[in-house]
Amino acid sequence: MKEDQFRTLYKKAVDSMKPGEEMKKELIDKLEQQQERKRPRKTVYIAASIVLAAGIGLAAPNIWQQLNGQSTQGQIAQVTPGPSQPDNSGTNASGSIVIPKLELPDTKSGVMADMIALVVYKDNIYTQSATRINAADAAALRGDKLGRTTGGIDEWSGKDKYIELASNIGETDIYSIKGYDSNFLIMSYSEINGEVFAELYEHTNGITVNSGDDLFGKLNLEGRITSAQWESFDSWNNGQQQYTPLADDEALNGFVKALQTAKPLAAESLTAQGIYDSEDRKVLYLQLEDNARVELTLFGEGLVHYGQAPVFFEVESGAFQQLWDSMKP
Amino acid sequence: MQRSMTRPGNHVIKSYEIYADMLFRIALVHLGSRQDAEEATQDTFIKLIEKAPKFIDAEHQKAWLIRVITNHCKTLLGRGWRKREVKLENAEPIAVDTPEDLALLQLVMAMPMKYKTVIHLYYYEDYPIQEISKILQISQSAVKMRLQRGRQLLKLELEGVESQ
Repeated sequence: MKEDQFRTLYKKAVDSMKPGEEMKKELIDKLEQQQERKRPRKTVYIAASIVLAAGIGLAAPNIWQQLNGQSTQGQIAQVTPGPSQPDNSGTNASGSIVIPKLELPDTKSGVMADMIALVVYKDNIYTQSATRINAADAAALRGDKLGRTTGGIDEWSGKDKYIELASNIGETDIYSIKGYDSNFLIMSYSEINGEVFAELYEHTNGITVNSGDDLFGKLNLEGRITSAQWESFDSWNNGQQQYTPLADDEALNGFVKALQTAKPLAAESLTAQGIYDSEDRKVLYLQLEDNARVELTLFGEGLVHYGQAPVFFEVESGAFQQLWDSMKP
Repeated sequence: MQRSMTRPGNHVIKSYEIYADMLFRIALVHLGSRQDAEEATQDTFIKLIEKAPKFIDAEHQKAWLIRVITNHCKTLLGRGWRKREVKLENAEPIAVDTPEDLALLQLVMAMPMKYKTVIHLYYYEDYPIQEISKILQISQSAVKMRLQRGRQLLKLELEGVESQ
């Protein structure tokens, strides 16, 4: 099914689901019960009467105005945001970034894992990679079979589920990938009715990042890029996938070279400062000679981010700016 | 801090009129049962009273409500509460206009929670990825990946572009 067709049909289907009239009455009952528990009885009758009257539309217009006026006054300022994402990466004295080992939470603490596709391999958690391959190219990249996942991890899994080849992607075979270190990148691969399903998973936690080379060096980018495209933030943000070819080889080569020596910066402080609030971003797609496609996010501040790793890279400004300026529609 | 109201319930009823249908639909997609979805919707409005958060604007309140009901559904399903509801064939019939509507809804409802949340917010509520990231308080790349995986599960083709 085409995406636009799905959107239209899904909206129509969802629109047809409506709550019953009782839902509102039951809510009012619950509110009354709640107030009864909390308030002296004399106040309860008054408050409940107003709520009930407002709820069933019997309140006089002047009461509605009064209530609405009060509610407007109440709708300012403090929010109760949920807990922020765990991000304990830190900068040590030498300026390198230590990305802590990713672990499933202790369920006794009541914390639930924020789920992304993951596989446990050699006691490490591999998460879905920002480097992708087309299904048609997967077979050629397959190396040795490393095992078969068992599934079993979900949002509520704790450390007891952290066993070799456990995953949240169901049962599938796991392979090494030709040309890549399996300590960094592995592949899930299965064929169902002749159709290939393949995804890459990368290990970017439990590592110390001294420079861009510690991450991008594992992708062997230099000399292997066959083409590049970029996408505007607006296209990316709305899933439009409007790619523009990048023609300036010199700018790209200079950028990729500078990426290797880029300075790592902890994601936590940049995120707190609101780096994601800005839309001054472009997404760069690098097509490699083995048909893998690497996705990098460039921020107008001169920073680069890759995948799930909680680290940004500050690229030498001249190299960054030359590439940035070449990204024009 | 000044509490938002002296008569608990009045602004909640106003919010109910605006957001109840939206929240009910989110809950129904997640829980698969009308009764459970109605209870989850009611619980969300009760939380609105209990927490009494103050909002910058209507969009801020809407995002808060979506986050609360999504997390509430996640908690309910995680407790193993009403396990039977996960099996759609045992759930009470959902009233929709046509069998095609029902088939499409069941397709989405059968998806793992992490995917259907993003699929619903993207395709029904028309939120862009950046907004979904803020509402669910997950990274934008996680939203992107869930959207991509969700599309694969739904076997959606993107118009005029490669689908990876």
